Formats: sequence, structure tokens, C-alpha cells
Amino acid sequence: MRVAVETTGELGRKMTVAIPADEVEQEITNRLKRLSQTVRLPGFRPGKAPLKIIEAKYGAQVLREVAGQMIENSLREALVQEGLQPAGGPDIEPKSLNRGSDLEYVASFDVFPEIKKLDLQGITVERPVCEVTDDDVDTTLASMRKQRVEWRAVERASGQGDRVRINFHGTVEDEAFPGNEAKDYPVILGESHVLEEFSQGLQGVTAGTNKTITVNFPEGYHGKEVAGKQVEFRVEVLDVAEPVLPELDGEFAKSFGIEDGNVEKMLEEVHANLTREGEEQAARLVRERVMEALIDANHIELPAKLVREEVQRMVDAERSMREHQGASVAEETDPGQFESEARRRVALGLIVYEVVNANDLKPDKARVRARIEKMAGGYEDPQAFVQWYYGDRKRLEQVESTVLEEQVVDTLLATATVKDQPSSFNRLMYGPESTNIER
Amino acid sequence: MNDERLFQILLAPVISEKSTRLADKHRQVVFKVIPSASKLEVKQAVERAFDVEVESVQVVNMRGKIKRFGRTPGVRSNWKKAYVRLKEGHDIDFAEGHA
Repeated sequence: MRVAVETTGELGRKMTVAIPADEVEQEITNRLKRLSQTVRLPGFRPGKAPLKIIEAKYGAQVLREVAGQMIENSLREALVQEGLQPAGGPDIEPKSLNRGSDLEYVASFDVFPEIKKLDLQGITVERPVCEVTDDDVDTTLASMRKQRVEWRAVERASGQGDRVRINFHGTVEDEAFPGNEAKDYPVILGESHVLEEFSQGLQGVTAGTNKTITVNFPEGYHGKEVAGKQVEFRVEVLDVAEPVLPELDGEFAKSFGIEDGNVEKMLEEVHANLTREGEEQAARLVRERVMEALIDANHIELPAKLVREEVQRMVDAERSMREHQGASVAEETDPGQFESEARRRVALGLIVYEVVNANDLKPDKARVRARIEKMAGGYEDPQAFVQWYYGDRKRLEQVESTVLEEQVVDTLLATATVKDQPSSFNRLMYGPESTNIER
Repeated sequence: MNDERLFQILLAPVISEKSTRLADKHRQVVFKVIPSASKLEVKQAVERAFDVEVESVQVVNMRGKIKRFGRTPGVRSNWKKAYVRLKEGHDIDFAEGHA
């Protein structure tokens, strides 16, 4: 076997492999002999047909088979011999396919780029650090209380924040229209998504009031029948109720799963939850920044084939997502829009793979366990959750790869200069950095 | 004898265990020919078509097989087989070009 490698680009390689004719010939003869034992030809008993006739009939087919197989085998051998590793499957083009001549083919492929910078020496990564304050806990508690709000009927006239239950019947120039009436319809003044004028009309009513509210629907309203029209609603008020936020007491705590109804304990738990969320978010941000730094540090040429494959994967994912949403599939997705993201992913994949190899990283069993237990912390029966995770190899692998990624980040972070960046919980979770991670 | 008839004489080569054995051992090739062909016609037709010299020709009339289709009796057509012996140094290779 003769192998010649040609460099066609920074990553492009062209490998010409030639297999001597007699090697090919011998393989073909072997195969024909084997074939002659089994093949049935008219005029001959099985196994009695002469080789010459079998060759005339099956020669070309066998030649193709042999060529295909030899190309496959020799390619692997040649790649090992030359110490090359193709990124993505190579394109193979046979040069000649004739009996008696050397079997020659050209395989063109991209090799993996060499990644030079596998650490973050001299790069500064900002790590957000946040302290969960009592204010943050209070905000969370307020929204928790709002979830458990109760309504108490009142005799007085309705005001902002009250809930008014009504029956209504609307007409446009004395005509009914689709969706014009409802019974027992609750409106929370100032919060429900009803038109401003309608909401205004329900201010200051008491249970049992009958009144007519005139509403001018805006031009752009989604209901075509009423857009831009004046609609009269006959409204009957069933009751008016005011919101009662639950007291921050044992009962409330119990409703959130604190069994002994200890309010202190609930506060602690909320605090712990928020801290955990904050930490996770911080870790995510750090991860993103480390990856960004890594990409910036390595401006590598990417194997075109891998990028193409990634783009294809993204297009497919997009399509199946659309299908799922029931949107029109016919609408073609433009592969171009994924190009840059695909390049980023491929680059990242290559670099991270290198880092894992260079540092000989393996998912740390203890960390995997810790992570699963951490995830379990948010559930009511952590033990069952942990077991559920360990029971499924696939799920476990997911966690392992996450852990591995964390380890990569840690390894990299150890080489980088880390600067703590104080931040508030709110800013961290909802601030500009959380959504707008610079690419 | 006109050329047109000569081209109609030979119908197909007979390729079988027996025919390959004869070809190897006795330089004989076997053809299916039209039933009305004479030995001389076969000889000329073969010389013409394959550019070889023929030493001798033996012919045999093959009776068509009786094939039944359920209750209906059926008979395949009779046909004539010709064993053509080539002169030394001549050969016909049917396998060639069949691939």
C-alpha cells in the first residue's frame, strides 16, 4: 500500500492511496471461488459452474465489492500510518476501477485543528458574588403570599385591587357578537387584562349593581367584530371581594410544606433556596465567560464538514420544534442564520474536548453524587429522587457530562485570574448580564 | 445460399456443464439452431459469425418437453442442437463481453 498525503489548506488534507493490483486480484479470485460453491446457474449443478463463467457474470460486481471493502480497510490503516485523524467522514473518490491495475483512490478530509491555548493564563474572569439579603427574602415571601391570596366578600363599593365577579352581555349597535357574554366572570381591578374603560366602569360598584358600560374598542383589537367599534355591556355585579393576604404564620408555612409550621424555618429555607439559585446563576455566568474567553484565546480554523453537520443538526432541531408547535413546516429555515452559532459550538466542542484530554478529566463520582443530591434538595423526597437518577444510565450520563463540564471550567478557572464582582441577587438574576451574555 | 439466411441460423449458444466440458476437451461449441438448418448451413454460419474455421458439425433434434398446466397438456417447441467442432487453433469464448 502506497500512501501520499497532500496538504490542501490549513486543515484540508488529500490522501492518495494505492493498493497493488495483485493484492486486489487475489481477493477477487478468493471471492469468486467462494461464490462458485454456492451460486446457481442454469445448465450447471450448484458448485459445478466453471470459474470463467462465474467471473464473466459476477466479475464486475465482485470488483466493486472488493474495491469498497479494500478502500475502507486501507483508509483506516493509512490514517493510522500517517497519524491523521479526520474530522467528519472523508470524501472518497476512486481514481481507477479496473481489473489488473492498481486500485487507487483519493480521500479528502479535514483534520482537527491544533488547539494551542488550553488554559486561561493571563486572562481575567469576573465572577459575580452575591449575598442574599433580607430584602430579597421579603420580595420572595410577598410573591408567595400573593399566590395564596384569599378573597373575602365585602359590602362596600369596589376599589383598586378588588375582585368583582360579574355577568355581562355586550352588544354592538344592538347586535350580539362572538364572545359577547359570560357568566360568573372575575375581574381583578387594576390587574386583569380587560380594557381600561371596562375596568373603570367597574370601579365603585357593589354586589347587586346593574349598570351599562360603554367601551370603545381600539382599532387594533384582535376581535375583528368589535375592533374600532363602540360596544355596550350590560353588567350585573354578583359580588365584590377584597384580597386578603395570608398571615405569615404556621398555617402559611405548612401550606408550603414546612411540616411543623415553623416560620423561622421557612424563612431559612427561602434564604437557602435563593442562595442556591444565585450560586447556580453565578456559576452559569462564569461558565459562559470562561467559554467565551477560551474561544477568544483560540482563533482556530474549523473543519468545514463539522460546521456543516452542526448547521444541519440545528436546522433539524428548529424544524422539529416548529412541527411540535404546529407552525407551518413549509416555511424553510435558512441554514445561514445558524452558521455563526454552529461555528461557535463546533469550536467550543473541539476546545473543550482537548481540555478534557489534556488534563485527563473524568467525571468525579463524588461530585456527580453531590450534584444529584443538590438537585434533589428542592424536592420533597430527596432519597427517591436520587435513586431515580441513579436508576437510569442515560440520566446519569447527563449529570456526568454536566459535572465534567464543571470540572473543565474549574480546571480552566484555576489557571485564570479570577476577580470577584459583587452583585445583588436581583441584578444577578434579572440584570443585564443574565440575559445578555456577550458573544 | 444468401447471407440473410445464414444470420438466422444460429439462435443461441448452449452453455451447460456438458458444453463447457466439450469445449475444453474437444474444441466443440454447442449452439441452438433453427430446426430447418442443415450441417453445412451451420458450418457456414459459424465461420461467418465468429471468424473461425469449422472442422465438422453434428446435429441433433431435441424434442420439446411436455409441460402440463393443471389439466391442460402443453408441449414446448422442438429445437435443433448443433455440435460444431472447430479446427485446431480456433476458439470461441462466449463469456467475453457478457459481463
